[in-house]
Amino acid sequence: MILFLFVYPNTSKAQTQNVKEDYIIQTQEIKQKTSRLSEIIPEHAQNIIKGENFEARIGFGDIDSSDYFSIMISTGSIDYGKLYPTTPISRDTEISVSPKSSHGYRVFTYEDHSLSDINFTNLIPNTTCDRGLCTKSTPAFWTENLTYGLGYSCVNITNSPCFDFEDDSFKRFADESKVESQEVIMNGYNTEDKARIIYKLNISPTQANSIYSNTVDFIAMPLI
Amino acid sequence: MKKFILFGLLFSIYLSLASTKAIAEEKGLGIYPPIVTIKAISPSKIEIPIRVKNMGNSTLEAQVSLRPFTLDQNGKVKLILHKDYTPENFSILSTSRLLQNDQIVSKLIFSPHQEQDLILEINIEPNQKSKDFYFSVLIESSGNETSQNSYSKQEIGAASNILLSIGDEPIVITSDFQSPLFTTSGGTKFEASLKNTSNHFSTVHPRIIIKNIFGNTIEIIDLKEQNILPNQVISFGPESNEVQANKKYLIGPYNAVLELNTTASTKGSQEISFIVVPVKQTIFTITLIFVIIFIILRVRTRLSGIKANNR
Repeated sequence: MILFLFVYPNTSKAQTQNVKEDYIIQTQEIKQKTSRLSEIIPEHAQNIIKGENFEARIGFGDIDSSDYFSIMISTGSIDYGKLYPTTPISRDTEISVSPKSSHGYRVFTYEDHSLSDINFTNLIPNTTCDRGLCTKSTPAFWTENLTYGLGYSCVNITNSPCFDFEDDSFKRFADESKVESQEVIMNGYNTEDKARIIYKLNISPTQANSIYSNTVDFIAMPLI
Repeated sequence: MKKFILFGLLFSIYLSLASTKAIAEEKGLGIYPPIVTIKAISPSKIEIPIRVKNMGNSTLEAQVSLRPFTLDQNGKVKLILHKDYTPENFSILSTSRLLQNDQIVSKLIFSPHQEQDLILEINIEPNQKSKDFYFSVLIESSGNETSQNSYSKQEIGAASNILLSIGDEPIVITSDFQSPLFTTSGGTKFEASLKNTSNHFSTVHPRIIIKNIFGNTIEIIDLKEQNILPNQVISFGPESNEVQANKKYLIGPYNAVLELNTTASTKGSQEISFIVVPVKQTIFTITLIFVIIFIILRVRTRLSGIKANNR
C-alpha cells in the first residue's frame, strides 16, 4: 500500500472533466493531476491567461516546449580532505543546464562567506592568484604553491558555456558577506550545456588547524 | 572477539561510504515557465501558475522567493542585491506572494523527481502608477550536507523571470536596418537593431522577408523572440551570424523588409533594397562580352581591308 503511494503520489484514475468557458470535455480512464493548476498550466508553451485588467503570456511564443528550465550539479558538497600547507588541493564538480524552453541562460555564482571555522574565528581568504592578478571578475593563472586561498575555474564539457575563462585560469568567488554582486560563470543558447567547475584550495603554513566551510551557490536565470 | 572486530570494521566502512554518498549525491532543480510577460492596469489581482521540480534522485529541500532583477551593461539579466533595492522593488515584493494550496509558502520538500505547483499572486492596488516591474521567482536548494573535513557546500537555484507592465501607454520601437548595397549571391548579411523608446517593455519577434523585383518572396528569416526593456537596444549583426540569408540568389535587385511582430503600438516595418552581383559570373560575363566585341571589331577590320585591296 505504502509502496503504491510512493509510486503513484499525485495521479488518479477517474472520469475527468475539463471545464472551459464555452465547452466541456468529458473523458474516461485518463490519468490526470488533480490540482487545479492542471487546468491552468498549458501543455503548449504558447498560452495566454486573461483576467480582469490583465493579460499574461506563459513562455516564449516561438518555442514550442514546456520543458523545465533546469540546473543540475553532480555533488552536494566539495570535501577538501585534510589540508596541508603549500600543497594545493583540487576538486571538481559538474554543472548541467537545460534551457530548453528559453532562448538562453546565465549561471551566476557566489559564496556566502570565505572559508571559515564554525565560530568565524579563523578564515581562509579567497585567492588573488599568482602575483595578485585575479579578482571575482578577472581570471588569472594560479600555478605557484606559495599562492594561497580558495579559487575556482570553469572547463567546458558540452559546448562552450564557461564565461571568460582561459585554460588554467582561476577567479575568486564573489563574497555575499561583503555585499559583492554575483558573477557570471556560464552562459549559452543551446538546449543542453555542461561544464566542470574546479575548486582549488591552498593554505599557508600559518593557517590555523581547524575545520573550514562555506556555501557556494549557482543560480541559473533564463534570458528574456 | 573476532566477530566484534569484524563487525566494527564493516560498520566503519559502511559509515565512511554513507557519508561519502551523502556528499556525493547530485541535485537538480527545474522551473516552468522560464518567463511570464504580463500587461495589466490597476487594480488587478493576477495569478500565475508556476511549476517546480526536483530533478535529482534524492530528497531535496528548497526555498522559494521573489527577487528583483535588472539588466547589466551588456543588456543581460542579473539579480539585484538587497542593498540596491529601490522603493519600487520593495513595493512589488510586498504585494506579491507565492502560494501553495492557498497558503503562503517559502520552503518546499521534494521527494525524488517530484513536481510541485505554486501560484504567484500579484496584487495591483488601485491608483498604482504606470510602471514596469521585473522580478524572478527563484527556487534554491537548501541542503544540510556536512563533513568532518573542510568543505564547501554547493547549492543550486533556478529562476522564472516575470515581466510586469502596469499601464497602457503606447510603446514605440525604433529600428535601424541595413545591408550592403551590392552583395554576392550567397549569404547576404543584414544588420538590424531595435530600441525601445517608451516606458514599458515590449515583446518583439522580428523577421526579414526578402522579395525579388517581381514581388515573389524568396526567403523569410525568422529571428528569435525577445523582450526589450525601456531604453534597451538589441542588435542583430553579421558577426553573430544571426541575420544572414541562407539561400543563394540570382543576379538582380531585391527588397528586404524587417517586420517587428511586436506588442508595441508601432507595428511598422522597414524596407531596404540591395543588388546581388555574383562575382564569378559577372567577371565571366564581362570578359565574354569584351572578347565578343574584340572579335567583331577584328573581323570588321579584316573585311574592310579586303574590300580596299579588291578595289
